[in-house]
Amino acid sequence: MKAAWLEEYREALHLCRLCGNCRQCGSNYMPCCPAGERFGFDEYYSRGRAVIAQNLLDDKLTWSQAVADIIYKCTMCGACVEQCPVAYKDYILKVFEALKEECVERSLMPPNVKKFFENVVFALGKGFSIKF
Amino acid sequence: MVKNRIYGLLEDIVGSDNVSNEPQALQCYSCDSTTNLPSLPDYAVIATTVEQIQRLVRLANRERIPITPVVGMSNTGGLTIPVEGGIILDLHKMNRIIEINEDIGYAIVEPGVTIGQIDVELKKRGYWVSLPVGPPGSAGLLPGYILHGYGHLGGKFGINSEQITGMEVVLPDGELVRLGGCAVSPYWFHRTPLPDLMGLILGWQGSTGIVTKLGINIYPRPRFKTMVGWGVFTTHGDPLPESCARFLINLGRADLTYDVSGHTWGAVQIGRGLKHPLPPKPEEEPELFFSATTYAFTEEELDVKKKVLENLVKEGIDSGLPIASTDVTERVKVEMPTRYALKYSDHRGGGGLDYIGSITPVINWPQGIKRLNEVFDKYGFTPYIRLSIYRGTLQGMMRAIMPYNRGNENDVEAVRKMARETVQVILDCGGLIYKAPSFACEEMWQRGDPNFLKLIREIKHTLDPNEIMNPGRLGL
Repeated sequence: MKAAWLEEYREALHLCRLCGNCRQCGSNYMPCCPAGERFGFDEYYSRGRAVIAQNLLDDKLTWSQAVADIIYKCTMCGACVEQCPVAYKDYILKVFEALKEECVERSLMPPNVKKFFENVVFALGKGFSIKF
Repeated sequence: MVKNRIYGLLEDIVGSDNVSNEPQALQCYSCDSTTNLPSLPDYAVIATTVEQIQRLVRLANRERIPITPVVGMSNTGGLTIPVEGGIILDLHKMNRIIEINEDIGYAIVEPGVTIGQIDVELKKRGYWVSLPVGPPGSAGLLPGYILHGYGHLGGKFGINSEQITGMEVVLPDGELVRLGGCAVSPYWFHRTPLPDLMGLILGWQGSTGIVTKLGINIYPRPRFKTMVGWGVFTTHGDPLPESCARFLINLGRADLTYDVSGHTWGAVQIGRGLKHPLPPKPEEEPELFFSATTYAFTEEELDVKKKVLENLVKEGIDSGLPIASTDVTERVKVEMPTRYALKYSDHRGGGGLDYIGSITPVINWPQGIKRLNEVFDKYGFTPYIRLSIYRGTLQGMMRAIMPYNRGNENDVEAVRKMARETVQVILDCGGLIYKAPSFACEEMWQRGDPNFLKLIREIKHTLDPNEIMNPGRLGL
């Protein structure tokens, strides 16, 4: 399946400088990424997500539940956007959104996330629906 | 995830949450912003204690598995790409500032402490250290010191490795050793007068041991800063006459500056955010911009220093040098760490950054800049050359910086060639490459004393007979 959502950001992904500045807050240099701080590996930081997204687009990495679990660990808080010193900052959250959209397209949304959305739909009532 | 025997052994050491061999985890550690080819590790491991590192190194030795340490992931020399696979050892969680000793003037840090982190902590106490110039604040402090990097106080105190007062190292056999005065004294205050064994670690690019604690000089932080700027009005074909190089040397010898740096015209435009291609340089603008930075503890001291520096520049102008004062009002406001510096990566629209840095005699900068301009011109890149004078003023950093588009194969190939030609230019100028990629080391060895290379190989073999420590480095 072609990654149509992500494909839109193929050029933008090259803008990531791979500098790792997304890891720390630029005023006090405390950790700023919730997922990165919790899980530690580079794949959880914006830098690593750019590498993952690029490799998914280039078919060097296969879409899988494990990949989706990492993608969904991002809280979309945007702290990395605040720290990014280059033009990639304008695309970071869009790339994250596209990654999640691709997971939905492939039915790779993590079960706990899916359950959460099902509960939201249930709470909102019959008039609402979300396609997973 | 396939968990093999080695995976299980790694889990036993660092816990299951701190080991991965998932492809997505490994790919993130396989590359940096340079044109060096990516290479996958087999395992990514996060260590949080010195004991874990010792056990990991012993395991790597026993099983003959390469092990490559990494901290901030901001390296620009391909130096942490695990070219022979094995274990990538992520140390960024070992980020404690262990001691700041104001009475004796040093700090002890773990390998994961960042440039910004130490600066924030020392600022509270009225101190600072020489901060690596160029990397973001999230970059590791330790690599910029043990790899002989340049700091923003280099004009006064020398290169960063000269600021090291002590270190604790896990050797390739897993033994833990202290180097410097801290091997005997409870204080990490001086690397001599004992035999200076830090030469077994400094500049070896992680191929002889893993530094787990580093002692560095701290200095009282002046309250006031000023800069004096001047431009060199010459031609692209002959940008820095020898007379101007001698002027730089004299200025540095005045012993007032913490930094004397220069940038080519194109570098300044890129720093201002201009994108490729740049318009032609207006005739009335200089080929090179220079600035001298100084600090002071009182306004009176600052006034005197600024006046002396301005007089030196005026003397240069009056003596007929092709220089004139330039406005540095905005530059003086820029504080370290220099977050703005990374913006140059956007110049060609694509995040890549390669550079070849050197320590080169200032007197040879004229031929070096001239030839580096030719290299940039040949490949259609904006000449981005940065110059800084070290303490002593007779040698300094001459660095060719090559922002490029990672998504453009032509850019990638051009930069690979430019990097190699830059190495030739620097070596022709009597310079030495620092943080040298392997291909640059090979060029140095070809030109160098064969017995030096032989000795290096013997030391490496003695310390690391199984060649597990960051293999593929130093052209060995």
